[in-house]
Amino acid sequence: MRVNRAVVGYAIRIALLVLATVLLGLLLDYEPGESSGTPPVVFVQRPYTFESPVFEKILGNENLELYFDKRSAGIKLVDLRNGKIWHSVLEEADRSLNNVWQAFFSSGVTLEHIDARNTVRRLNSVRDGETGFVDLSSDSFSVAIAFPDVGAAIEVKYTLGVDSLDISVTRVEEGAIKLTSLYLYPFMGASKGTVPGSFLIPDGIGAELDLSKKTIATSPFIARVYGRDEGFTDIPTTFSLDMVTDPERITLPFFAITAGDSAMLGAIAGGDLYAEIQAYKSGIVTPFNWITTRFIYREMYRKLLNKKGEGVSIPQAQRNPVSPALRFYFLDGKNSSPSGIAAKAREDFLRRGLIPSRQFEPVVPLKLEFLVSESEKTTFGRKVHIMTPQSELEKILADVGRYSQRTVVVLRGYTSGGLSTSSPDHLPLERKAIEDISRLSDFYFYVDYLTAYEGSGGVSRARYAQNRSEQIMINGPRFIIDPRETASFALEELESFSKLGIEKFALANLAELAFSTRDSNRTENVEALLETVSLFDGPILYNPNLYMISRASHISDIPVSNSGYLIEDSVVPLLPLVLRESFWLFTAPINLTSDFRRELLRAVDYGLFPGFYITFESSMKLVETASSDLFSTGYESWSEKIEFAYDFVSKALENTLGSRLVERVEVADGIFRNTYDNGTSITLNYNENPARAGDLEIEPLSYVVEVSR
Amino acid sequence: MKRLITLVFLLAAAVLCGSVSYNTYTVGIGSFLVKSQEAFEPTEVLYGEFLSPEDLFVRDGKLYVADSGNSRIAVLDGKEVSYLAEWEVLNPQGIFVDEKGTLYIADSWSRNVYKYDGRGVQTGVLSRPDSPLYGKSNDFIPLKVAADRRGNVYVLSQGVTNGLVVFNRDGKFVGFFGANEPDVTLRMILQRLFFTQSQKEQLLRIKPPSPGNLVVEDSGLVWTVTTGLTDKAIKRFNVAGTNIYGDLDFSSSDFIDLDIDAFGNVYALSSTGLIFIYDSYGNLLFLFGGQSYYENRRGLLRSPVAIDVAGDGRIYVLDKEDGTITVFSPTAFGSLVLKGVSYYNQGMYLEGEAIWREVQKLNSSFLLTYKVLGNIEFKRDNYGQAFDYFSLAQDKRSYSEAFWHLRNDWLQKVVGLLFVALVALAVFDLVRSVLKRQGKIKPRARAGREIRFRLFRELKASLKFLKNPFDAVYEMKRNGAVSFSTATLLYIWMYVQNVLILYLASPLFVGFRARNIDFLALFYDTYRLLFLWIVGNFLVSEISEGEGTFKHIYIGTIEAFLPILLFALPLALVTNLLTLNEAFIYTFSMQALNAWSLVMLLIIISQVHNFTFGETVKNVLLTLFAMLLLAMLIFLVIILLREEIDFFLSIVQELIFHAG
Repeated sequence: MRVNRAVVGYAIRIALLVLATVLLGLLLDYEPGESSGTPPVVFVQRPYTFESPVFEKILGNENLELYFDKRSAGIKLVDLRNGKIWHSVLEEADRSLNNVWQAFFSSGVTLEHIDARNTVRRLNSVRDGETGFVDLSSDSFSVAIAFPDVGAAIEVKYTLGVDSLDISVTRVEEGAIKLTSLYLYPFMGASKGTVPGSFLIPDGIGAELDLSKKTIATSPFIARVYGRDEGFTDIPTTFSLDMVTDPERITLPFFAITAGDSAMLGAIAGGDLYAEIQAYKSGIVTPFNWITTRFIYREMYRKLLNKKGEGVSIPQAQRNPVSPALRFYFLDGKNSSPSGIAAKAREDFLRRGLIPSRQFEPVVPLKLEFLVSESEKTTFGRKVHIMTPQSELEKILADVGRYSQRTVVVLRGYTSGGLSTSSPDHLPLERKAIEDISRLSDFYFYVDYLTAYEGSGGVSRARYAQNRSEQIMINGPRFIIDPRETASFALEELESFSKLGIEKFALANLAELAFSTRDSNRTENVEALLETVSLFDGPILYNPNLYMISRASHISDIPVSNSGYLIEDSVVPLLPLVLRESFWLFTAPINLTSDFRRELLRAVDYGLFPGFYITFESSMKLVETASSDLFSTGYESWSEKIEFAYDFVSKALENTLGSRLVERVEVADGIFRNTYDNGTSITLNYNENPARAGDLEIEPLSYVVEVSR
Repeated sequence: MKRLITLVFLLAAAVLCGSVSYNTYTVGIGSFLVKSQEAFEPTEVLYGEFLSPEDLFVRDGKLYVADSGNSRIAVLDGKEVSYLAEWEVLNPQGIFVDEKGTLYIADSWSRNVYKYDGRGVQTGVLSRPDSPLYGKSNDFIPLKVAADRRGNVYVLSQGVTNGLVVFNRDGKFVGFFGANEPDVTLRMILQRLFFTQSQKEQLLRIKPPSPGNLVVEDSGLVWTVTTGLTDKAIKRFNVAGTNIYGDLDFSSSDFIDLDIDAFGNVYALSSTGLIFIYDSYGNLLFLFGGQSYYENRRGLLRSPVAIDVAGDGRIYVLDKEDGTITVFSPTAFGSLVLKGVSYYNQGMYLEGEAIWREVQKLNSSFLLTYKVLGNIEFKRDNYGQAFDYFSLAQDKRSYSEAFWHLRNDWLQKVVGLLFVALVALAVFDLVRSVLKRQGKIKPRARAGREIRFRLFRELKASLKFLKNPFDAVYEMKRNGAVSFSTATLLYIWMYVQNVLILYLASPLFVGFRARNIDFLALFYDTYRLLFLWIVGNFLVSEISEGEGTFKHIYIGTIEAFLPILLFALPLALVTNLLTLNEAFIYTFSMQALNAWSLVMLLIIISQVHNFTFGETVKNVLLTLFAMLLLAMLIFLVIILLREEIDFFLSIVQELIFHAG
């Protein structure tokens, strides 16, 4: 017995020792950044010397001719209407470029992949690729570009339309590499130095990069379509004051180049969820101006190893389901202005069913959002502040009804316990505020099925979304719910809402956020969100991404500026130009901005209707609540200003209802003139001093309307 | 030497700007930083052909830039730029222009300060003073310079910790000015206490940090800013060289430059691109800006070095690495607040009222508004309103003053009634004692009644500790007059009382945010010393032959604090009648209660263990030492445990990652 016990003891010790050795061995064997699986291929970069492309005409119609160079897979497009030639590769050697850039600009297609050390390498079609025709018809052809050193290959299809060229990637084979991204004709429409022309990007409301001006920026414009994918962003583990704001989002996937009286619109027709728009002006890295889309197959991210935030940088394991497709439209004459380009983009989205065509009542609407109640954390539990009781709400609306032709009302915080305890469950109603629900059936009820305060609505942790580092994702102070869970939350409630006679909704976040999660990609999540949004009939959406836009009845919180990158020279209202004829577009709450008058002037300029976020009680009551960022909402403080705002905006925009903006020019410093196709023109003065434009005298921060009879 | 070149600037007018790339904060109710609408927005980015510019100065619409990398001063006037002192200076790091247009240039390479007149002609040079007062070891490497109206020149020299080097108008060195105090840490004090003479000699002498930048306001007072300090980073010196600027509640340790506007507001720039705006008392008005290395967005700075405020309220910030000047213009809201502040700082409360009412409408969480509105109502003798505003502003002094007036009004109303009541009481007492003496009222029979509930009995026994702790301890030890559970009840009462005090006492004495109780922290605060004391005393007494058991120490300790348990709450209630002027009543009473409790504790411990006075003192000292050891031990165990857990978690994570 005694011997046995000793033997068992020894056995256990030896087993532990072996286990420890194995563990240690595993750790020693491990090298950061290297994940298990096949070892990555080592390949030697081919040498490169510039050779001029040899173009061969492949396709043509009455407007356009398409030429192709087999060596570089470069194309050249000749617009027969005005003789403009659009190049996609360098035609002559440029001594200011090194070999790397020369090869990049000389290639129609460039693949990026990562090597064994997780650094990004490029495969250029001109240097590393071999191109062969696969298919040819009267209006289209396909080529296969093989990269024999690594066994990768892609197939690209070109289709020539009346005024357009479609380029799509129909097949991708990775071979032995881990593909991270693809550039498709990055040099298309590029130019050198300061030249007349511009790049247009729908960054926020829209930005113009003026190529005739030297830039002082040292960084290019780089932004993901539909915003950064937060699924790959670490959530900081330490607190720091949030000083830098997020850049504005690109909600419409296109970019454009203007050059004299011709223009090229590049609509991202496929792979938009994984597209990144890049724009370089002369002086940033190279002397060339170029703008393109990079399609991302794999994102690099940090895999966290401990709570301190230490980790390793690794690429996404699964390739994103990207089907890159670009449709280039070639425009000339009047159509090459920003409004012409926007009209073309609109036409493209209409054709693809991404935005609806609608007729509106000819009225100028006003949007008022009301905070009904909000709760404050106290020492013992929560205290509910009734911010806008129904009786007062009705009085306010009666007051507004004196002048407003149509008021769109959104209610927030109608849930028992107030706004911050609501979502993803929004019922029961706060009975202290709402007496008779039947009188509220015309209003939009604000619901949020995608974010929640921790613990609110009893959401279990498993239903929150996790990022690739397996942290629960956040949006400001709120947690993000797994997109695949949102539909069930919505379904659970819709019936109860319907019983109360509530049929109209304003949807928060569902249409704005597009992200990957721990175990699903952006496509899967967006599909889940689309499914949720489709449960609602004509909701109000807040600055939605293109794939959601068609579901909206009205759109709110249209940004009035771009991200303000130094490379951006001015604001061009591309977003309203594309959407204005399909939706009522409202501003973000004007009462929460710093410059009331300027904000109104922008609304008039961009064709946006005014929106406010109002409470009956003073916003002082919200100071210690989660809605403390509503620093000025009291109706008493704002009643006169809302009336003024409505009057100010409607006097101008009532003349433009149902018509299209055809021209927007800066006639003098800070003086803009908008001309509509019904002949109306509005001249706006953004300066603090009165100004003259022609024989017009314009007050500071005001406008003059000229209506053609 | 003056060369005129016209440069094309890249201008971005206000309307063309993108969204503001940073958040703006202000101090909100509760003295927290809260987000506000923008006070300033970036409206222009100016770019000349600067190479590593180091400083800028705005005077009369002209912008002077120390273009250090090109060894010259650039003067921007509208869209024209001219250059001064080209190659006459080597590395101009600081510039200043006085009212007469005289330009002062601090050149760190030639180690001189140069004076130039408005036409670009050099009129003087200041070099290292040869006066013995300057000190042998002090170098003269001018980094920044400023001058006052009388022509005195203040030079900030690298490595000089005695303060700014001051020259009079004739260029004569007159002394040092505005030094910082040396930063003495606990470690230094300990080193001084325990080191030998030779060890002390090896230590570097403690030197104060030298200021990082300076500015002279229009009235002639000198301001400095010091990197590394926080609440005292910004100093305003009177003629005597004493700092008269308040401590900053919200500050940065990275301040590198500052400027003062015409109303005395302070604009401080941090090396991380943040701009802090304070009023002339040091209240933070706005905080905005940010840093960005790669993003290149308007309003974000890469490597900011200098800030200047123009007469029109616009802020100019120079970025050394980008060679750009970002111009921030006040928004409608920002202008409104600054205008209001200028009235407020001049004491023109009523004149500024309309502005502050508007500010309140635009941002109801802006703390300063309530301070100002309180003062306005106070001036109008509306003390009730003023009291409410000061309560929101959490301004103790003004709150107390408003309360004094309110209390005074109330007292005046009730004083007659109070007098009548007192007289009535006196008469009643007189009558009663007369009747008693005449035997018409029989005194109430007191003793003899047995209290039925044990708890009440034991509580009554507890009261004996106040009257005669010696007997009470005897009763406790021998007869078990107070049980373990009753003592525990008293311990619980201690916590409950602490909660109630925070709830019921005047905010003047417990703070305006007292009601936001962190129950766990309060629990910890209430019991940690008691816990250590009881355990420590028990352990010490066990080995030093004290007679008391753990139970006796446990009961005795809480009984010692009976004065506090009984009187602290009533005292807290009384504070609601007090203003800050009578604060001594509260503090003195609290001290008396504490002292009483400590004496009781000594007596009780001596009785519990049956110690002589000497033994008691020894026991108490040993207990204190044991408490220290215990605390350290607990601390160590917690740290080790945490490390241990982290270590195992990361091993598991790495294994999972590696396996996957």
